[in-house]
Amino acid sequence: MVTRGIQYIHFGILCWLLAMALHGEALAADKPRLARLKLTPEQCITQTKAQSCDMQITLQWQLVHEELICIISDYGARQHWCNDSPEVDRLTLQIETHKDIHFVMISQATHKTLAKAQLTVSSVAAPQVRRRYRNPWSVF
Amino acid sequence: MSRNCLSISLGLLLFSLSGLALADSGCNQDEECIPVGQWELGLALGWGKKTNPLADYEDIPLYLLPSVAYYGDNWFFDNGNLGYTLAEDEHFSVNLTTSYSLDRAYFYRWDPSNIFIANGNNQAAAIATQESLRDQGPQPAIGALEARHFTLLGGAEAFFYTPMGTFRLALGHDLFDVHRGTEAQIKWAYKLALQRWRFDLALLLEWKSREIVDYYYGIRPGESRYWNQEYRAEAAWNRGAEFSGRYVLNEHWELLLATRYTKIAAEIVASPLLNKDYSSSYFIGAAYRF
Repeated sequence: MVTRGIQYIHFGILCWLLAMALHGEALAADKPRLARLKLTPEQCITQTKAQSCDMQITLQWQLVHEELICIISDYGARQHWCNDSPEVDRLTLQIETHKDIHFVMISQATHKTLAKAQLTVSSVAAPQVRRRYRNPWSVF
Repeated sequence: MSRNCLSISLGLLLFSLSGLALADSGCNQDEECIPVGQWELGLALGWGKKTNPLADYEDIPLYLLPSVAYYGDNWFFDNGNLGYTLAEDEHFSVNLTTSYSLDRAYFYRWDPSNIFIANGNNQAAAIATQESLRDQGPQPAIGALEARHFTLLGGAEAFFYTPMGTFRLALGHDLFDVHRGTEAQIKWAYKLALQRWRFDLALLLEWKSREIVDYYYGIRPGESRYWNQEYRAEAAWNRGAEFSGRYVLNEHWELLLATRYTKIAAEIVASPLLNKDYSSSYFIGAAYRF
């Protein structure tokens, strides 16, 4: 009788621990310990080096605290964007670029960097070569 | 004024060519090719010598030959020469380019043409008159030489690629108002690749304006009043030949033999600073490409 009672207690503790773990995970998913900035897609692959990436990308973020943010990038056409409501948690952009684009998310309140993301542009074409006009080992 | 007009006209002509697309690099196996957007570094270690035609100046030993090049889509840097490609085609190339005259290297060890060369005599030595070239009696000596400053030449070059070889036409003018001179070059080069061997042969003519000849080889009043009056610089044509042979061992290593011979124009040899009418260079060694 006592043994069965102890088994119930163990079972109860296990259930409690499991419930706490699942609850903690759920909390972590809702409120990450660090702010996250997710870019989709992260890669753009072109056939040639001269070809540009003409595509739609989406930035989505999660914050530790509810706050207003700004997204800064080195993409010429859209270098700065800020949300005006904490409920806005994504940004979709149409871009056309030959080179990588870096995105930085900062806090509007503190101006601190919260998270970063990068779009990488690469080409499947073989390395381009050209004529060399000078003899590399010319005796002057 | 007319000189400025000429420069502007030349510039407009060359920039009008820039409308030609760089459609075809034209690089094939017989030519030296370089990846776009990457530095190419190399170092050759060996032994060689460049003879100095200046009287009382030592020959210049060669131990190390560096090779530094970067080619972008249009801009390029190649062993001290900066250039911009206006047009590139299977049959021709047109570049704006800088270059430096080889004449100053005879006077100064650390001239860019002498990089990594040891024991060159860079002292402004008192020059004896050229006994070997003039069968005359004793001549007045020349005092310590004044500075011959470094300058860059800026201009244009065109390459024409034919089955008979590559022809180069180049024209450059002093960019920094040092001597205000102009140089031109006509060069024929032929490349031959046989299995692991690579041979390069070139014949060239170099024209130097009177200003250049006078700046480097003329005698200034402070050096010798007698020779300042006696020697009158004139424009001159040097003739030269170059040959290099390479045996490619693997992706990084190659054995190298390079030679150059320059027959100096009579107008320059007439200067009392010279006691030879030629300059020759050779180098033999092993080269490594990083």
